[in-house]
Amino acid sequence: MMRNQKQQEAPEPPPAAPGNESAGEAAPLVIADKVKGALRLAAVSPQAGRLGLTPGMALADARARIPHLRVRPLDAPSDQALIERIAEDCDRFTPVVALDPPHGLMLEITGCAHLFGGEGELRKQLLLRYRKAGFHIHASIAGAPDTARALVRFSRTPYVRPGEDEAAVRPLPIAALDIPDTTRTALSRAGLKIIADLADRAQVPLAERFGQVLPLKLRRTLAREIAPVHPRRIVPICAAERRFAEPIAASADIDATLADLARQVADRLSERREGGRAFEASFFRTDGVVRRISVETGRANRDPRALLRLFHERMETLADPLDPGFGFDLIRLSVPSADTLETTQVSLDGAANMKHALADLSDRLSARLGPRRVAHFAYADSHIPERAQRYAPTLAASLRPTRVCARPRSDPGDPPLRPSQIFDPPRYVSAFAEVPDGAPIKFGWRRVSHIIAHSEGPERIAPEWFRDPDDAQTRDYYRVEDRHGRRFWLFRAGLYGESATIPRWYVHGMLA
Amino acid sequence: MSAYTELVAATNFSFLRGASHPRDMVLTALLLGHAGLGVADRNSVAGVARAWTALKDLRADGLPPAEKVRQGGGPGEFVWVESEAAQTLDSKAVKERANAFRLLVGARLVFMDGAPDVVVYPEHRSGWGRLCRLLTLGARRAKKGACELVLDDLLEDPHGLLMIVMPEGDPGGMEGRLQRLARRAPGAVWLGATMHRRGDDRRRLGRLREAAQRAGVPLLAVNDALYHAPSERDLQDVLSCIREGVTMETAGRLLEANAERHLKPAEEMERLFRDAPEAVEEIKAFMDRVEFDLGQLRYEYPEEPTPPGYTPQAYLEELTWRRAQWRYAGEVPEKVRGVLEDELRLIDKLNYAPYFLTIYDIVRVAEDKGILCQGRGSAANSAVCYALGITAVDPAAHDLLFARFISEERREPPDIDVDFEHERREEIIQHIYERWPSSGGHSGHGDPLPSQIRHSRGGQGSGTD
Amino acid sequence: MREELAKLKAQLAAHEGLTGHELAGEELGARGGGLFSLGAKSVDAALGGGLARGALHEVLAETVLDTASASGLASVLAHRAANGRPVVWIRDDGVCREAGMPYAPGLAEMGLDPDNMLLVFARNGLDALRAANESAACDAVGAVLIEIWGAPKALTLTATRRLALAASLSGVTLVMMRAGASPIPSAATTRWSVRAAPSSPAMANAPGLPVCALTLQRHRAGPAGHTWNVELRRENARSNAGDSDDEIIRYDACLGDAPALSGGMVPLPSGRPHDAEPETAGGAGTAARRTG
Repeated sequence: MMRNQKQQEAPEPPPAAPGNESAGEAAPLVIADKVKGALRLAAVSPQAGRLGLTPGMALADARARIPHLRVRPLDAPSDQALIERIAEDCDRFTPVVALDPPHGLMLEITGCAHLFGGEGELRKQLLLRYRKAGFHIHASIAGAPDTARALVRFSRTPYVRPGEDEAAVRPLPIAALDIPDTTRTALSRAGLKIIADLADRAQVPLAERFGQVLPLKLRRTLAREIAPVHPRRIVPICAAERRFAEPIAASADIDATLADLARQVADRLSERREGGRAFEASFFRTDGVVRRISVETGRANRDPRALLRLFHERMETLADPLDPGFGFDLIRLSVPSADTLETTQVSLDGAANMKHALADLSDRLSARLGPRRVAHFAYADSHIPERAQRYAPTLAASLRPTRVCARPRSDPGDPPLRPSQIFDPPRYVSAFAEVPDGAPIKFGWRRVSHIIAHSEGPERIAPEWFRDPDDAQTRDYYRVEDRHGRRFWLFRAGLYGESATIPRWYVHGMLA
Repeated sequence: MSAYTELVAATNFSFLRGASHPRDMVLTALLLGHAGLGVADRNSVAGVARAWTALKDLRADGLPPAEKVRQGGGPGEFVWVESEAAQTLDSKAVKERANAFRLLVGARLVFMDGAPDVVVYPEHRSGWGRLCRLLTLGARRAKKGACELVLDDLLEDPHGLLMIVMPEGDPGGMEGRLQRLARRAPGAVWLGATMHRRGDDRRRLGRLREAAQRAGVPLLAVNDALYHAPSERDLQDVLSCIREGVTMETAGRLLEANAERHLKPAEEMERLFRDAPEAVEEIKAFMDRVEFDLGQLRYEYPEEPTPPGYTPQAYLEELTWRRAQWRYAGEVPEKVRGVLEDELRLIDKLNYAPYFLTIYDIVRVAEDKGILCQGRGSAANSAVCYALGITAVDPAAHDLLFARFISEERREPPDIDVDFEHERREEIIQHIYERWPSSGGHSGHGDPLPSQIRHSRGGQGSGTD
Repeated sequence: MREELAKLKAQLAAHEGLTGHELAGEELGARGGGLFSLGAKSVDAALGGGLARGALHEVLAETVLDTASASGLASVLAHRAANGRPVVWIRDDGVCREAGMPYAPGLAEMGLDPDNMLLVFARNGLDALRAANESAACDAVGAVLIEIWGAPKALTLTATRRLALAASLSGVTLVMMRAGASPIPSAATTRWSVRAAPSSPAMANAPGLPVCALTLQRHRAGPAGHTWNVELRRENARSNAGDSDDEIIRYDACLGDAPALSGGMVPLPSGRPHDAEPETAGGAGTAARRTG
């Protein structure tokens, strides 16, 4: 069984803009925030820390000690955004990256370390990358997420060998258990100061006295139990990636890389007897910007050529083209979603080939125009005209509900009773009609007056009382033809005499 | 009062289709000022008795007082009708209207062979018998509760029936059958036209009119009502869902698109049928053809075979006294004797003897076969029932008064339920079918009994009425 | 060579009362060639049996208000050409805005097959043209219907040549409907202009089957300039014999010669100028012309 390796990365203090550091040599920097009406230090720079300032201290006290203190207000949203950006960039180390509030990240590195030459090497590369960018950062690797968190915050032990997790955390203070302050205080009063004081005690009395959270946190911190990690992004079913010592920027290189990755991914999917329903290419720029481009397919697919075509369609129509900047040092192709796809033999079945050809066409069109713009008709069984049909994206084909066929309501030889074109929403018109339910005699729309020559109706369609709001109105539909042969589908919303307001008229569609 | 009458109205006895109780249909038609109402349920005449009782109450009492109305729901009570007419009419006016109001009783025959529904009203008493026989035929052919008929069943002998053919969808599909029916029963076939605001109503009306002309039958304006007021559309939708076994969300077009299937004011119907005023006028002609009135049936019960020289009443009395001797071991107590005399007098007055004889016959058959049975119901707690062995409750011991349960005022038939041993109930039912092979048919009486027995078969109750 | 042969066959068939459509059914294998009939005898006869498959045909809405009719006619042409294969229906946002969105219940009533359509909603003319090129290159497609509003820059003679080439290479028929625009030079094999025309009313003065005045403005292989009044019909009911439990009756959309109009409506003489009216004139302009 593989050992679960958790890595905690904790930039500390909360990253200010990396450039600030040099300018800050003159005066120590603190970040202040209002807590219960009083300004308190939310974070302190290393320099300020060396002068004895700690987070939580009242700003007034800090000022009293160090008059030339530089104070900046806390900007939580920007901090959050920065953490998210770092998390995004950490995707280059492992696809399983979780936020660990307030300022931590949790990386699941099982199975990834070998790409970097071992766990220690991975940690080193990670620290180097972010320290170079000006962050103060610490990282610990342990066998369980809570263990790693405790270590990075309270002992900064870089690395715990498999099986030694418990020994590593025993000397830590109970605060490392990540428990509520009240519990911590209660434990201190009871004379329990470090984890070792608790580790060997029976759990039941502990739970009875201090609540269920304590034994749970204890088990997790001692790596007796592994807490689930909630990654920020969907963990792909499979992926292939390529790293470059010399970042690449030329589109030919990028294409070649994608082609290579597509083949690798296809092989992996083939082993799994699956085909992807969605693919995502991630381009990691040296400066930490990650660009992701995804395509979807209407049916499970693992044909590298089809895949490349989809990516080309997509990339050609990007509103914001792919910008390599100083180059990409990592390109990954991952498959977030897949379906079963048996190994296909060269099919002699023409109909199936046709179906596939059409599916591939709609995939390419979806990639270029956007998935919502390529659709099939889908139906719902309803009297309400706009509810009776919708446009179902072909990419979501497998999600399509059972079909209710569009069957003609009229008899053959009779004119269609429904329009071939429908307006959503219906367009307001002004109409003259006999009350209460006569067909319009004329109506005005888009500054043209239409004199009605032939008409039929009303077709009365009442709201679906179990679905529509109470004030939904009954509609009377009329099929009308003006003197020039233009055929419209009009309706009056509401019945005369039913409400105080005068019913309004709309055009809901046109007939051929 | 207008001449308009809705000739195709279903009640909640059209199971899971009609949404209103017969009495609400009658009351609404009355308040709308209609000349009458034609009640026609799906392959059943079960609802017409309720409609009839409701009309009689209105004739006798006028509109029920408000406090009685508010209780609602119970037997003999009306639900309130939101009608302006209800506010302005006094009890006398309602009574007058009720007395002039004509209740047509019939059934809507629904066929298995794709033929259009035919709403049938008996022209006179023999027609009623024929209708009941037809329904019994369908019921016997079908599994529990259903009724299986084909158009040929009707064509075999449509004499004495007035028929309204109700086309569904494309009128072209039913023309052949309409013409066959019209040839078979000249002068007794109408083509029903509806204007449900389905868009192509007027075009369809035109086609129906042509089809009617080709077949040589008159066109008849109807609304094919499923409920008394538009507000009942919700209830009807729910019933449709139960019927089809679907949820509201998935029912879709199984539901009606609008709330048009209610009783409409005469002037509204006339306006809807302005392209074919003759179809509205034809209603009166149709009504004039119907002689039959449910009142004609009131005291007519299938004849019970009685020994020669006996009337049913004499035979019942003979039996009662003989069995009473046996029940009380030769010594009928004076108190019981008095009660028996009172009860027999009342039975005589209301002409219920055949009914008691019927029950007695069934119970005796059960006894012979060793099938356990037990009577109950309002009339069951009578000394006569005890004497006849229908019940085991000695009224002498319990001081129960039969007269309180059967009264002239209630104007309802006596009610005796008999529960049979569940496993052997079928034997009793078979006996009943043997005894009345074409119940209601041969005698031309069509008393509630056969339909009640049939109803009981379909239901899950353990009794046979 | 094969195309000519097919045309000859179609002509022969038309003489014998067979439609080119039925003929095409026999020759399903021979894609790219052949003609498809429109169903209206007078029009088919004038075309020598029908329109060419694997070619670009253009349909212009005479005025903005004729867009629904033009689209209806164009979709019938695409349906006839596709002969049971899928139709890719590309519509740009301008057409969606001005004429609405395709509505399957109504299309089914016209005898079209909405379940066999791939809908593509293009942002603009350029996207629509690119999607059309791509679709025309896919041999699983029966026909491509492309609907473009106005005169986008991308719609050039070259663009239409590219479409026509794609059509001829794959055998996929392209029908291009344009509304809110005047004709431009194009590589289309035929160009039609369509105007809504009064129907013969059904009973109770209900609007009857849709009627269009159809003018053949341009025809590479024959005379042009004639105008026909055609009805958009639904015909050839056939049940879905494939799976017996699902007896769906399907219909085919086709054109039919419109019955002569009562009430003194005079069909438009042929040879009138075919320029579409200015967009803003709308119905008013048309009204003036028709009453004149």
